[in-house]
Amino acid sequence: MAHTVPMSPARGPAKAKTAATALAANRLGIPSVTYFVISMGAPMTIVVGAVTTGYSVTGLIGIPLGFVVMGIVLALFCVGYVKMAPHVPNAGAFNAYVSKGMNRPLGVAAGWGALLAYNGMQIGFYGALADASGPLFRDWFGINLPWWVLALAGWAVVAVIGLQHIDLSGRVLSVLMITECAVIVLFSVACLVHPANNTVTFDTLSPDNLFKPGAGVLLAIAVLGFVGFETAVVFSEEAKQPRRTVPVTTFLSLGAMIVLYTLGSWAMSVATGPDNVVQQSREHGTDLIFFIARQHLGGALADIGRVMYITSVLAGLIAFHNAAARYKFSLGRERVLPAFLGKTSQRTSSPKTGSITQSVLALIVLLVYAFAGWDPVVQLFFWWTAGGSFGILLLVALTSIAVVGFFLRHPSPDSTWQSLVVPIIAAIGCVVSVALVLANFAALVGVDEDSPLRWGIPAVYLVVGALAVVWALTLRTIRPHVYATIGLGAKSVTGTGLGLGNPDQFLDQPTDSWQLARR
Amino acid sequence: MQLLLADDFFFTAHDDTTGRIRLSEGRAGLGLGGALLGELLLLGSIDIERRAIVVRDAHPPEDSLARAVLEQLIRDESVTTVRDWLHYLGQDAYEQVAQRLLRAGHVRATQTRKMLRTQVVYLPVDINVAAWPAARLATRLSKREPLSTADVVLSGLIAATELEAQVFQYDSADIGRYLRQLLTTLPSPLRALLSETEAAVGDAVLSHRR
Repeated sequence: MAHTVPMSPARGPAKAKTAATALAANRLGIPSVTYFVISMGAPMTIVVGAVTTGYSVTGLIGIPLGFVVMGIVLALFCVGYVKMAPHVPNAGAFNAYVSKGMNRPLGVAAGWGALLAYNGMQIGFYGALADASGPLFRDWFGINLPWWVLALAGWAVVAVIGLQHIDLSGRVLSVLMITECAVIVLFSVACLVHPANNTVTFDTLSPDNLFKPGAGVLLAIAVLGFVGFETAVVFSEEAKQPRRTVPVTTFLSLGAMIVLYTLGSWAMSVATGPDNVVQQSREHGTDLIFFIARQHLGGALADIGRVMYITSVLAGLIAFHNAAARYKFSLGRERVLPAFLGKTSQRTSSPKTGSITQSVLALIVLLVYAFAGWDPVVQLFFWWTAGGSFGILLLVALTSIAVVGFFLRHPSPDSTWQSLVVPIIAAIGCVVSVALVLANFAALVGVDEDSPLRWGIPAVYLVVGALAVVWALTLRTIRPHVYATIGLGAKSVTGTGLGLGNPDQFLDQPTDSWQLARR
Repeated sequence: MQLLLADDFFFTAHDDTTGRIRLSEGRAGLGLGGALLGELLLLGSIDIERRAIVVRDAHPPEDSLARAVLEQLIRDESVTTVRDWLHYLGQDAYEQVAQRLLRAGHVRATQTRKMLRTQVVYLPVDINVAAWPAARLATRLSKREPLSTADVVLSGLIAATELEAQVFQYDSADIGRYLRQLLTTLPSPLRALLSETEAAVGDAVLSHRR
């Protein structure tokens, strides 16, 4: 060969770049990850949809306190969670933590459970979409569309976007999220400067609420708001400084969500007066906050708020759709779900079959609801998301135990406090929360104690979990090589069947680049 | 005539008649990045130990692109993991391998317009050359014949990038088992390379950015 060819003949300036700088340039910083995490929580949807519906369905006024208490429990949980993240090959998926910290059969149960929870949550959000867009169509265009037409239109958008491997880009998310937060703060301030009876009350934040019947309900509604808080660790392989970006982002977004949700739900109760908030929520439904905003801020701002409610639900739908599709892909790759779910699109690298099956499931549910004439807000949005958030809470509790289990076996040399003391407190908090939610499940979904939903929804998780454990034990006997890679997600490397080295050896090493073997 | 590993992979990643690429840009980059590292592994220039690249023989390879990659591996010693190198090499691998094929006269560059953008497409000069890697693999694999180490790695890369169904078409189901059996006979660094490539392809699916 006669001449030396530069590294990148097509791009002149690229010659000077080094691998380290090129890789760093492509990594994410704290703001982008924070936007992503908070947007997954869909703040507007929570404050407008879940809080109001929560007040009206449960008849409890302690919802703001629920956000504070659950937020603290989750923050404690996150201490150990982010500390363990570098040791987990498929960080961001609860099942990976459970597989590693407890055992593989429970890991499979966690995987199936997570999928179910995200399924439920995503499908439930279609109810909120119909609820968010209906009034606007009525007021702006004078057309009164059935809710399911709107839901199906949203479904088509999400189905197409889901196949494109488009997560809303950092820029779109940041604009949407900042506007949403600004609207919530503005509306809250408007509520606070116009309190009912001219007194700002703190009844809905009073610790008394925790000792009244139904405290568990408050926690479940709060969990719904925080869903997505676990996703910052997904970015540990893409973050600029994983050891800093991931913990900072996790606590930053959790903190922001606690403030936003508590403020939003408390302000609403101040504007109506704590004694009237339940009755007003029942009267106005999810329009309550816009009704208040219209009085104090004018129709234009109220309309902006309603548009943000729609974009918020849509962003949440897309995020949950992708989360469910990714769980299916990971589990399909691990071969603990049928392998076809691990298939991807060559053109877009999206988890194709995971995405399509999610769309089909959602379509079936929407059609059933449309034909049966069931209510989109309470029976679709609230029931399904409440069921989903109960599932997420279960997973958080399981993961919190797994974190303790992991650090008992692999004591962290630098901090017993972060790796053991706080995680143990967090695990107790999570388990107690699960017990409280379970005890109050009927009140949560607003049904009688003898309704089939009361035990039916929790039982679904139990049945699925039990089946998963049985399946994992079966795999151990009939396909030991599949059993060995449980919890590794895409890193299970089942396509070529080669596996990523000895999984146990691999699992015990931190996975971020900076810790691996040096030359 | 035998092409280099990345050249072979380049051709199997395109439809041999239309020149249409069969996979997304990112995935093609990872596959080609894996193939470039594979060339150096096959030459004995590098090795893989505990998921990191180790330079064994700094002697420059004959091919200029392989030489450039090796020089970079030596120069940028702060980056060690196969994963990071796949991501880094993947950024430019497509263009680099295309340029190598262009210089060797195996492809020609043509401009096409797609969605208002002008794009350079590399079309094979000789369809037989382009179709040869896939045909060679398909024939030998379906007859259960032994393959050269380079060809086993090539079929491994095809499996890792989920190209099997497209490259082997009707034979893919039949070939699959024998292919996987061959993969397990590879020396461990080459197996590690294929595993890392497949993991990187899978992680890209889970990634929240394209």
